Amino acid sequence: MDGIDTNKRIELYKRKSQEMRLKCLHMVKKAKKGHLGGTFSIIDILSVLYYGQYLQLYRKGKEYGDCVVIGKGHANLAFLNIWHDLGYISEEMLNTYGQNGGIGGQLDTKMFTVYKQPMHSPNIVDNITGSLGHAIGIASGIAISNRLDGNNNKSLAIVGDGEMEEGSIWEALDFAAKQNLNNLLCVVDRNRLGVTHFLENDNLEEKVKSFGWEVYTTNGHIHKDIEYAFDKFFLKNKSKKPTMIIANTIKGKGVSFMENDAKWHHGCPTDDEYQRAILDLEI
Amino acid sequence: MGKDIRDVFFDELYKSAVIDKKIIVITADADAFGLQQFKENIPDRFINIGVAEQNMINVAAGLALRGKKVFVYSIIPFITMRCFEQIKFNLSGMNLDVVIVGVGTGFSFGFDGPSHHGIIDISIMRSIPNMEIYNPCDENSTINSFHSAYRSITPTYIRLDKGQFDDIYKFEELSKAEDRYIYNHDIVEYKYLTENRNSNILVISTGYTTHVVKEYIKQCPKEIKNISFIDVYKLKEFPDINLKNYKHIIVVDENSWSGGLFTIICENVAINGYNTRVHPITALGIEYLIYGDRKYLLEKNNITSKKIQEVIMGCKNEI
Repeated sequence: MDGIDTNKRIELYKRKSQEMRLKCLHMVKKAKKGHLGGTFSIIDILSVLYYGQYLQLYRKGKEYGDCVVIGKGHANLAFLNIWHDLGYISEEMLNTYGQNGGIGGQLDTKMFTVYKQPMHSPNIVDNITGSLGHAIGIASGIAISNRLDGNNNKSLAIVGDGEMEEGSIWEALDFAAKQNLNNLLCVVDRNRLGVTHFLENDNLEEKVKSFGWEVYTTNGHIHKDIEYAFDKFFLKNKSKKPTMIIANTIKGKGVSFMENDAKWHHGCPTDDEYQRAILDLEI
Repeated sequence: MGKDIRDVFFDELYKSAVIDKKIIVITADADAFGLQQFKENIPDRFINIGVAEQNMINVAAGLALRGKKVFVYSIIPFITMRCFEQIKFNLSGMNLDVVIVGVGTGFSFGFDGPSHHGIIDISIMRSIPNMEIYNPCDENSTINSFHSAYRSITPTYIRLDKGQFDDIYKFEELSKAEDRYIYNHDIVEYKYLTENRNSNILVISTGYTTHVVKEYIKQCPKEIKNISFIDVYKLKEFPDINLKNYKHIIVVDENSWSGGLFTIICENVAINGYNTRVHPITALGIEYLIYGDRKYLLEKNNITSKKIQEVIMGCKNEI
């Protein structure tokens, strides 16, 4: 973000993250369903990615730009609210959340064709979601295509750490490294909490490094640290290897009683919980 | 006849890939002689992804999302069932232009055992809404399957046998040579081996079993020659074959009766309310721990000339 000094930028990330958390909370309360835990854990990362303007979703005269392939589609409210805030998608589409025939619990690109959007789906997001373990493989395919076409487009896969247990993820990690896909970035939201259990994945860095990736670990809630990690891939990448950013996060981050509680993977707060959550989130 | 059916397919693919830079081939460590020239002359568009079928489909999905025409290739059970979720969700869910080429229909990998048998893949691939299925039985139907899949913009599954086969389809019948490369011409998707309009018994087969049926026709009693025999190689959007006038339809297919050509015909008969009985001569299902050549396995599953004769005579006696 040229021209804006660091403090103002960090302030923007912080403000937007809380604003988006509140919006997600309101939407879940209204629809009476949603995945707040994983949404709150990833929101700071997405704020930096989108408000830091790292992505060139459109490139002049080209059909495609950088791509985002999403693994944890159940965090769709985080994505949708940011996209709406940036003017990528319409209010009309956002308002269908929770309605029959509208936006559901997972991100679905078909919604972009149902409601005419300011931006087209391949430029915002590439895949349908809900089934886990595919994002890195799909993003690798796009990265290969970009290389064949001789462009500089970046390929991003955004996944959760529960998803990292899928076998297809490890097939993809192996493949991307063998192919030297240095135009590929995988962001892992390591909140260490699945739907029912805590994950033991302290050695994720070691494993992925041994597959032949550049791996950076960051605190997924400290915006300056997240920015530092993104800078390494987007601005300073000289490696021949694909890059992974492992962001340590807290499931349910921002609302005290939701943090690290598997109950909030999916669910709707009561009126009392809703009020308490608002108090936690208001700056 | 003259070429291995896999080489027929890959020669055709190679010819198109030389012109069309969007064509990409991915294999999961499966080979065919016909792939050599592709590997040697177009190496940047050939990926051997290794024994990782799930990732193969996902990578193909990514390439297709950026406008590439992807052909993925491996042995049937592994390229359909091992990665079924990826096919169902990513290829079908996003309606992507990927051609799945499976080798080893039916019991053609007999010696490698049940793990390699392709006898329930039609059943599961049929269940995917926008997946077209081609099951060619000879050179010309293989070439046509390729061009249908190449022209398609939605997912397609092509089943390839191994080895050389007698011609069932004549080149002239299918389309004129120059037409093959032109969009929207009518492609023949089935053929009467013998057609008798007065017959009320039909024998319908697909792929390898059509050659079993053809052998049977050669040596069957004279009076049986006046019934109709059909091969069909397009299996999902079923060709417009008139089934109405038959009292008995006998289905010969290496796929298990559940979900294969037998089910396809039953559905057709039931939906249209025809007064027809349908008889399966199909694989019985997966039987583990049995190894042997194709002839042995077909006999084990009762897919033989003898069985065809027996069922036809039973139908004739009933009429």
